[in-house]
Formats: sequence, structure tokens, C-alpha cells
Amino acid sequence: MTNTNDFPLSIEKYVQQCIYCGYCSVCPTYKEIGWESNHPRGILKQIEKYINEDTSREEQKTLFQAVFDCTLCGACQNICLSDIPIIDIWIQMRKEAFDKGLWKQELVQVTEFVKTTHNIYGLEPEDRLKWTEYVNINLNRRVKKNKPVLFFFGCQASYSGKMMKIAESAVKVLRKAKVDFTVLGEDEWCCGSPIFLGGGFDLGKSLAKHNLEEIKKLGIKTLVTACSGCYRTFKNVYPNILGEEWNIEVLHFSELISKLIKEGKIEFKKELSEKITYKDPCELVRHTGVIQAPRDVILNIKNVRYEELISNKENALCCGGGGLLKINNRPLVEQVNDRLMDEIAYSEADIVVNNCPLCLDTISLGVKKKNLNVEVIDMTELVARAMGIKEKEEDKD
Amino acid sequence: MEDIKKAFEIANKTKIPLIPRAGATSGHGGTLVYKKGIIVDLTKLNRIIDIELMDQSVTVEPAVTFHDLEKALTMQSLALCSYPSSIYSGTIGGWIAQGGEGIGSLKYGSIIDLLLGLEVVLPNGSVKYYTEKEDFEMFVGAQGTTGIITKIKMKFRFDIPLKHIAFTFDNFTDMLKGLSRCREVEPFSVWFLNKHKVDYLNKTLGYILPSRHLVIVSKEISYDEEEKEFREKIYKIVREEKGQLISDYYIQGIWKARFKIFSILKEMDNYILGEVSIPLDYGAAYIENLPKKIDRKILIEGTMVSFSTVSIILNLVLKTDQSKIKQYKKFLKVYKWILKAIKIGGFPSATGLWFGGYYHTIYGKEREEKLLKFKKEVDKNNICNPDKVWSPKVKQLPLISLKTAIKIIGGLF
Repeated sequence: MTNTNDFPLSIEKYVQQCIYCGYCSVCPTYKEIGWESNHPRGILKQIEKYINEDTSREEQKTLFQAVFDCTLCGACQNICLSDIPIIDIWIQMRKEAFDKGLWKQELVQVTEFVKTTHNIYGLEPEDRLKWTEYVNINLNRRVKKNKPVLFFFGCQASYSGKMMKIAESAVKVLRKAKVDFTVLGEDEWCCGSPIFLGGGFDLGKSLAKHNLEEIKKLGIKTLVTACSGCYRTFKNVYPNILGEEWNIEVLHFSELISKLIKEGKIEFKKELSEKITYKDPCELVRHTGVIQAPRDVILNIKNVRYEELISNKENALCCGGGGLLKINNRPLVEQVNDRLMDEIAYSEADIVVNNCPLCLDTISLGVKKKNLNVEVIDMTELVARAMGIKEKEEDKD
Repeated sequence: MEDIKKAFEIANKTKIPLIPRAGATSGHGGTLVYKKGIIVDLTKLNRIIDIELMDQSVTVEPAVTFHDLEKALTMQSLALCSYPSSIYSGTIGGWIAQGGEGIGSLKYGSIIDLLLGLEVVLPNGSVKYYTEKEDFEMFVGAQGTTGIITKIKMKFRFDIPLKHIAFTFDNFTDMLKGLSRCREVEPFSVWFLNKHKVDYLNKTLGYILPSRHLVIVSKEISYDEEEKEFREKIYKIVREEKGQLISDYYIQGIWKARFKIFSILKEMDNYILGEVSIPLDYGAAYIENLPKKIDRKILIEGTMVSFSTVSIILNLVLKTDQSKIKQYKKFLKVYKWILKAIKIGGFPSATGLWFGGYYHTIYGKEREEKLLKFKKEVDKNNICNPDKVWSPKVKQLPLISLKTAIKIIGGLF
């Protein structure tokens, strides 16, 4: 039994607020698992018992498994009639799981990687810009310079071969738009997103402090990122963790592009004939409310053929990849993803545009599994194409 | 299905009750357990089996939510005929069990009118597939007391877009007169909020609705001429019944918010909810007398479920400093006021836990007798969700029923 004072959130108050309407049955993982113990309403009931009564090891295992079998997509919180901060409660419980030694080995491993190498893959910190060599981009003149704008790549775009295209396209677009930006190079540390999602606040805070320090040194005013996980962390978590010290404007790549289009600084020269649909990443649409900017960008493409997915904007389906579910329950990711694939297939789109590396990976896997004839690309790549930036364009900085 | 048959076999042998459950929205207490037993969680029976365009039917398992079915239908340019306001969690099987009437019932009828087939595992272990309305009556509104539904075949509609027109009234008498004439426009739904509820919505959810009784009429519209005709007819009714048309601007978003209207409950420290259906003819006197009898402002939201009946949700906000006894007294007053509706030809929206013993007021005595006979035939040991539909005996005073006990206690206040 845990003393409720141990929880920074007043969890006890919130669990009593539940009116058991069951609206949270929209939860994508509950839909697959089907047991009340995985229903957000059922998890709240288990937490209430955990706080107020003695619970057996078996009951605790069921509870903690349930809070980790969650993509943290926020569909439940978005629809909750009682406005219960479900995501924050789950994260709090994940921290509790850590304190009790109930984290999965894989999660402990990722945390260890981040602690020692400052990236989620455990790769060398000095290799953060290694990708530039593969695509013949020279960023030397932009590493750690005093500039108004910082482009934050994130671990996935920096290290994963599958996501490298995001980093490459973003850099090319920003250069072409003449954005005066810098990058942190090996001093770009993981934003802490997976750590915070797991409830590891202490390590998360140290990462946040480092990133803030680097940003302050360079006099940066605006931070831009194409990763929705990083964006949510900078936008929602850093102000809570760092307080007033964090006075940096945070923009998602699609918000910046939308702004530049409005200011006439970007022009989409190329017409794209493919039918396009857009999958809202949960971290943008429900966690941070970025809904219109990506649509503004897409709709600015000449003669664009655009169609929304059936579930869109606040009601967008989760791809299954978020909330550390890939680490905690990989088969469940695929099950959740299948529902999204049905909607993508129904849209008959040629291109699914996304705004999150994690979604990009999960959707690509789903498309491959279902053998769908659809290309999955990130917003950065779409913008590069619409601006007429060639794949092997000469590197000019 | 084999699991359910097995469960009934064990229940009959051990005389332990089985209580079916899926969405468990708790609205009327149909899934609440009165006697200790085994909960049969049907949540995993959530497949949409088939959408058949030729005979305009969809076959689903009972735990499919209306929200999921709506999405599947939308993919084929189809839509739900009628559905509950708890669309996100309400399941098709659950709505059958509680005898659902809701949004769209005005045009397409209640759930029984939509049914084409029902597969049920009866408490005696046999599996039946019913296709006739008189057989459906043994399950619709029966709160899962006569068997566990395993498959449902029901109608859908083509997805014709809805147009909404809103107007306001200064008093309930005029408003209900206006509602009684809505038949003239063949609406899909008629939804209304009383002034207190409108004020509360404005205050808590930031709407800018005029502070009067508000009505929103929705109709399926296929082409411009049809919309023009709809608007002209409504304008005429509203003018003649002393109403005031309001700009579409005011109701932007409110139609979408119809599923989240209960979110205002979070603003209330304590509240009482009740739902009752009343005849339109007596509705005005009934509603206008409510606050005087209960001496508090009552928030009312209603839907026309037929051209002669409105279903209303009464929401009484309690003072935070009130003692528990005073709160129970208020509860009993609201309860009594719902019973008063029966005297004017109304009825509770479902029997659930609190209105056991009032089945006949909803469906008539003849149907109740048929249901009782059927129940005795198929559930000799009374193990299928016992103590629902018919009022249970009070545990501490087994000589009297819960229905009588509440009446006696209510009479004291």
C-alpha cells in the first residue's frame, strides 16, 4: 500500500471523480485486450484499491501491466466526461512501478542507454550527425552557433536509418527557406520523452537541464523539431520541470512551415498528383493541440488531392507505437495498428503523410504487413517534394 | 457461445446467478448486481460480422459499441438509424436489454423497430435465433433476465446529411406545443434543453446560447429544395407557436457536443439524475411544476422519442453543504416525481435497478405477463440476472419488495 502523499498528483481525488460512463472504452489497447482490467475505468478502480487497501503481488502485477499496456495516446482523456488527467496518472503509476522494481528489462535498458550515451539506442554521442555523411550534407557551419532558431533532430531522426530522410529533408527545407538555424551536434541530448513516459523524472530532469543550458549558451529564441514526441516534451513537460527558466518558443516543423507559407517565405512550386491523406500523431493532436498547421501545409500544395482519414483530428486513431508500448508489448502494437490500416486502405490514398518518426515506423510496418499500395512519408519529406527539392540536390550552405 | 452455454449449465447446477455485462455504462443500473453471482463479461463479443447492402442490414456481436458500428458504417456511406447519447460506450446488446430509445428514434423508431434477428443463449442452455417482433419483445427491455444475446441483425440507414435548425421559447407550454407540431417536418431528431441547462452550459462549457428554452430540430436533407422546404415549414411553426428562431451561428458545435453534455457534471459537487418519458400533452404542467415541488433549479435535457412522447433527463444540482439525510430526501423527491409521471401516462425510461416493478408502465401489462411466462419457461431456476425487471425483496425485510419500501420511505417526506 502506498501513501497517497507519495503521489504528486491527487490521484485519490481523481479516481473518485470517475462517473463510470465508460466513454474511455475508445481506448485502442482495451479494444484489443477486452478485459475490464485494461479499461481506463477499470485501471482507475484498481488504482483506487492499490492506494486504499492491501493488494496482492498478483493484483499489483495486473495493475502495472495495464498501465504499461497503453500507448498514452490520450483518446480516453480527450473524451473523459470528468476531465480526469488519465495520462498523468498512468505516468505516475509507471514511476511507482519503477520504485517497486517492476519495470521491464527492455525499459531499464533504454533508460541506461539514455543515461550513458544520451540517446535511446545506446550509440556513440559523437555519431549524432553521422547521418550527414551518408547523404552528403555538411552541417559544420551550423553546429552550435549563435542563431535565433535551433533545429532539434531527436534520437530517431539522428540515429535510425529508417528515419534519416526526416533529418535530411528538414535541413534541406530550412536551408532553402533561408531559416537562420543552428544544431546542437553531439550536445543534443535525448529530450527525455521515453524517460518521462516511463515515469523516470529524475533522469528526465537532468536531460532537460542539459538541453536548456546548451540552448541558453547559444541565445536561441525558437526551437523547431519534426518529432512529435520531442515537441510534446518541450511544450508540455519542460515548462513543468524547469519552470520559468524554460522561456523558449517551441514550434513543430509543420507549424514553422505553415508560418513561413503565410509570410510568403516558402513557395510550393511542384504539383503533386498523388492522393494524400494525413495521420494525426496523438502527441500533436491530443497532447498539444496541433491540428490545423499540418493541414494548412498540405492544402497549400498546388492542385493537391487531399482526403481526411475517417477518424481524424481529435478523434484520430492511434498507430499503436506510442507510450513505450513497442518496448512493453510489441504484439499489441500490431493489433492496434491493424485498425488504422483499415482506415488507410479505405482512404485509397497514394501517400500517407505523418508528423512523427514513431508513427512513421509503425505505419510503415503495418502497410508492409497488409501489403497496401501506399507510400508512408514524413511531413518534412512532403514539404521538400512540394518545394521541388531534388533528392540528390547539391549541398549548399 | 459454447462458453455461455457452459456457464448457464454451471449456474443451473449451483443456483448461482449470472449477470451479463459489456459496456456497463451504469445509466439505469442494469448491470449492477443485487444478488451475489457471476458476471459474464461479454466485452470480447465485439465483432462486426457483416454489412449487407442488399437487405440493408448489419450483423454484429452484442458488445460492439455504437461508436465502432458508426465508424464501420461510415466507411460504406451508411449510418446508424438511432443510437443512445452514450454512443462511445453504449453497446448494441446493452441497448436492447434496456429497451433503447434515443437520437433518431423519432424517425426510425426504438431499437425493437430496428431489429431483424436475434441469436440468444437461453438460460436453459438452448440457442435460438429469433426473427419476429413478438419474440424480440422477450429480450428488449428485459435487462438480460431472459438470456444472453450473442448475435444481432439490425437495420441501418444511408448516410444522408443532417441539417439543424434551432429556436427558443420563453415557456415550456409554448415549447411543447411547438414540439407537437414537429411531425409536419418529419424530423430525424428533436432535442431540447431548458433555460437552466442552457445557462449551465454557457457558464461551464463556454457556449453563447440565448438564455431561454432551446430546441434543435434535425432532418436528413438530400438537396437544396428539400432544405428550403424544411426551413419554411419550421419558420411557420415557430412563428405560430410564439418561438424565436436563432441563427445557426449559435448552435455551431452544440450538436457535436450532444455526447459530452454530461461533462457538466464535473462542475457539480453533488447531483441527482433521473430519466423519465412523459406524454407531450401533459408535459408542460409536469415540467413547470417540478421546481416548485423540489424547490431547486432543475436542469432538463430532452429528446422526442415519438410524436406524442418526450424523454427527459432531470438533473438536480445539490448544495454542497447539505447533509446526507437532506440529499437522500431530495433523491426521494425526484424519485417520487418520476413516479408521478406514470399517473399522467408517462413511464421510467428503463426498469434497471431502481424501477423494478414498473415494466408494465413502459410496455403494458399484457407484454409483462408474456415476459413473465417466458422467463418461467426458459429460466426455471431464476439464475439469469435475477431481481431486475421485477422488484426484488428487501434483504433485511424479505416480506416487502424494494419498490414498496421506496414508496413507504418516500411517503414520509
